Amino acid sequence: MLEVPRLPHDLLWVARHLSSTLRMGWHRSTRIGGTAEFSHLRAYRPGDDLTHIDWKTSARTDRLLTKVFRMAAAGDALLVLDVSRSMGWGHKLPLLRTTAAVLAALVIEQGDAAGWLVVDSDLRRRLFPVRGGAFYLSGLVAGLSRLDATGTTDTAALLAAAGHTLVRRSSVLILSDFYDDDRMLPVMRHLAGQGHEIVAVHVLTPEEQTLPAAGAAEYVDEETGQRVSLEHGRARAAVTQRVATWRSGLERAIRCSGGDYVHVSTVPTLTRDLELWLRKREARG
Amino acid sequence: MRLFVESPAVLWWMLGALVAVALHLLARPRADARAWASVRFLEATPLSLRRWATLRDPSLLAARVALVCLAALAFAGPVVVTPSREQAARLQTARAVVSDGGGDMVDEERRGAVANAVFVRPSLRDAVDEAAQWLAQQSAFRREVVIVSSFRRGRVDASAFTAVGAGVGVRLVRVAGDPPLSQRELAVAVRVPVTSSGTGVDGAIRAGAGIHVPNDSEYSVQADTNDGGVPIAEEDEDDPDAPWPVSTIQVVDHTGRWTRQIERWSFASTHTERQLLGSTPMTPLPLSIEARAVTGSVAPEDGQAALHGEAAQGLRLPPSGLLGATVYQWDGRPEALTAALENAATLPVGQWEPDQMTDAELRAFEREPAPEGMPDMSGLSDRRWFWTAVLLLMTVETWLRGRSS
Repeated sequence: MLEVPRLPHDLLWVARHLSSTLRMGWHRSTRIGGTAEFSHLRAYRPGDDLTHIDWKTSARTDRLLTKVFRMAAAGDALLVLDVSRSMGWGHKLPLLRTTAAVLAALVIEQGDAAGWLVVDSDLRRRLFPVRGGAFYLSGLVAGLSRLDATGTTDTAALLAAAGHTLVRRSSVLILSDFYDDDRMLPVMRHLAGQGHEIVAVHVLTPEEQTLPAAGAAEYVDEETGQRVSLEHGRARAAVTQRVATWRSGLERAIRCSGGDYVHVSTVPTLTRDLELWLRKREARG
Repeated sequence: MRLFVESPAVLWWMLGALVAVALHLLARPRADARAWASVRFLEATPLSLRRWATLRDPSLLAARVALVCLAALAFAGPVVVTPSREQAARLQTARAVVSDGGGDMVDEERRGAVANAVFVRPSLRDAVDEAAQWLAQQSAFRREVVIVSSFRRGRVDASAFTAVGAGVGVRLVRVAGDPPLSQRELAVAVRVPVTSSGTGVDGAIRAGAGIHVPNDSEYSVQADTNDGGVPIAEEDEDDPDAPWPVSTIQVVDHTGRWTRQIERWSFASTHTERQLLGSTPMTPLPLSIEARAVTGSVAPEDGQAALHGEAAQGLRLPPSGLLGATVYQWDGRPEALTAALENAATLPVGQWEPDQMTDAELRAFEREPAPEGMPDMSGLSDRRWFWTAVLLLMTVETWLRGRSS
């Protein structure tokens, strides 16, 4: 089982390992970005993907014809990272780093470019430009390992900054806990309308979804300092239900806004979470 | 091994542990503060009352209670009594050294014979009394009075130790050598063996029977020998009431190293004494019972008068032909006179009475300390160890408090 990487080279190793695992197990579906558009038909060659065979035309012409696609959009991906204080709680920040590194490795190792963008509490952007190459990947991952959690969550500002940064259609993968989802969705719709592929990576640990068994406690919000006193036995079921409802509603709203949704909860289960997401993504075509 | 405290009343401070318990129960926070990513989905719920009935951090509470109890114990002055400590305390001795500051001891001290005198008084009895009072205030298990003196006769007797407690030991240390010249000549007692040839008095002088002379009886005695410088005189037969003759006698002290001529030795000059000493012509040598005070305010004449006065009433003379006894520092008590006479009676007839008490006499007064009960070990307080334990407990309590928070 993978543990939370603590050093930059650990993070790079984990990212490459998980990325290769994903590509080996489900190679076709690992392609992120690069929305394909039909170009033309050609004769079937052994080894072609059977799903790309145009069966209707083949039946009419009585020979197997394969559809050839061209990339309608570039395969570049911009990882938009929420590094607010709420993301610094528990193991969320290492999970965020690892997830971002794995996704960047997936993109770069498939020959495309990747970069990341962070907006701090003073709305100052920190951009790791979108580029490709294995050497660039190591620098990108090293930059990820130096991120700290500060400020408050503002995913709307993050997406807006991503919109200003991108000059061509790309994939925008925003990694956040989305506790301010109400303001994010309009911006997401706007970006999707501009032709960007939006993927919302929901970083939410199991502890946040179910209260730990700790008796009575006073919970203090990491970002606002707000305090709520409750007793575990009485509140756990309600909190669990409330978070589950919120998650499903958020997923629905993101999809309705033209985005995709994936939930990651822990580093050890990251591969499984991403693989499930890629399978569903593949199934949706 | 057992434990006792010097101030048991301070142990009531242990009730402060109840305050510690109350504070522990009441002062605990409403709930543990827990950082959380977002309280967006949390809603406050009423806290259960059961929480207050549940004892939290029992180890911290135990440390606090122990801290208070230990501090109270440390304040109370705890002493851990081990067998070795008890044995050592039983051997602890407070010793009052009484230096005789009167009489010849003044000279002794002046010439350095007495190095250190704690209670130096002109009267040895006063010094012993003060020493006894001082010893009564001491905490040592064994107490004893050490009296340093030349122990000239009359300086100390049994009555000097009436103020000394029963369990207090007495040790007598003799110092100094020959008495001063002025004292020695007065320390001489003259005695001769006598026989009775009295008339009209029943029982006269008999060996072992003592002498009891009614005031108005006539009585005569006869000396067997004339050793010791007793004057021999003849009564003036023509005038029985004439004063007894005065002759010059030679007195030799008991050391034999010193002689002196006493030019005028006056025997009894009163009628009563004449009766006592015998007035018949057949009496070649009168019996002389004299009491002389060597030092102090009492003159020899006073002692002589006392012997035949009220102090002599009921006085029983020793069972020998005693002719002379010396009372040193006579303070008017018949007991002193009796003691002097009894002592003189023990001496061989014809010898000089020693002017210092013998070792045997001193040993009669000496005794070993005989303490009772438990020794006082309050000086062995283990406060510092208990305070060290308190500091350690404070460290543990701080650590437990940090861990619980």
